Amino acid sequence: MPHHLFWEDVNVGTEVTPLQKVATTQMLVRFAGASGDFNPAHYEDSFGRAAGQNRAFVHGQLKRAWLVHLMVNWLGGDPGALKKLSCRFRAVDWPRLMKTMYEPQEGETWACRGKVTKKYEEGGKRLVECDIWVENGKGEKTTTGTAVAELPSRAV
Amino acid sequence: MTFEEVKAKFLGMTSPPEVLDVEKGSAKRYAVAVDDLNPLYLDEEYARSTKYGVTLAPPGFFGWPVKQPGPMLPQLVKDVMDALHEAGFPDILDGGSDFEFLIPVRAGDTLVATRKVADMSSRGGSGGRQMAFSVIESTFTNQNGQLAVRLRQTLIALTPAPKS
Repeated sequence: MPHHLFWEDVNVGTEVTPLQKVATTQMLVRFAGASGDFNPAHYEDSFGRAAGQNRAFVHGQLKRAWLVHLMVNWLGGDPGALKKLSCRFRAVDWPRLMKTMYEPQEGETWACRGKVTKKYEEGGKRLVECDIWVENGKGEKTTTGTAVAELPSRAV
Repeated sequence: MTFEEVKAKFLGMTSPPEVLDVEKGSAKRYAVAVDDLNPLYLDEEYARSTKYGVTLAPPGFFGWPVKQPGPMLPQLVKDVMDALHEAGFPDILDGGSDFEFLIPVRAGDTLVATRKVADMSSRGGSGGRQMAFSVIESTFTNQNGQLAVRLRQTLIALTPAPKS
């Protein structure tokens, strides 16, 4: 069973357990197929250039999906505890190329992070609001957002 | 067509309902593509031991149609983008998403999505490019008539970059 995160364990300022991600060209192909987003800007360099980039770039919606993963992982693996998630795409990211069929080349690693900004009760629910973001290898926030989650109490 | 004409035509327009099947295998493939190996998305035996009973779709999976027949974009969104292209805004950026998850979406659910052009505005952006913002509001209702998800998506259309 996954762990549980309880209302009593969380305060304003508590860190959301960070999650590392590596975007690869292979992940972008998989995500295109799985999500239905076949914009060539995510697999053809010439389209990436047309959008003002030097090569094909990471789907914004993939980074949004990473932030969902960040939150649900922190919530003990319960997707039903995640009530709201918003995000904005601040900068473009480029995937690592593949070294073998299974492994990426050396390169950038992304970190999904967050922090509790508000802890409150509403309509009988115990809720926390968090700032969440994706950082690129240079520590720049390329996607930022907020999330609201409902937490169980130890007392109940 | 000018931006104002596009706005006059599309603002407030709603789409006919779209039926989206949340196929078990599609939900799993999406989780694997994101590298999110939560057993609630992938392991039916594990899911049976939880309050959900069946595997779930990762929150946000239904944002892009699960198995969109025909065009990649919802028709209403495509129509707005095509009209903006014609109005001189050919480049499209994803301006972000706001999801509200009311109840979990289970593998095997059938969702009905409806979409509405909730807002359209235009202003000057960086580098001398004009920006047009379109806000699309979608609701996803499951086969039991329960509202499962609300989504606001912002699409940014840009005029071409000035030649330097």
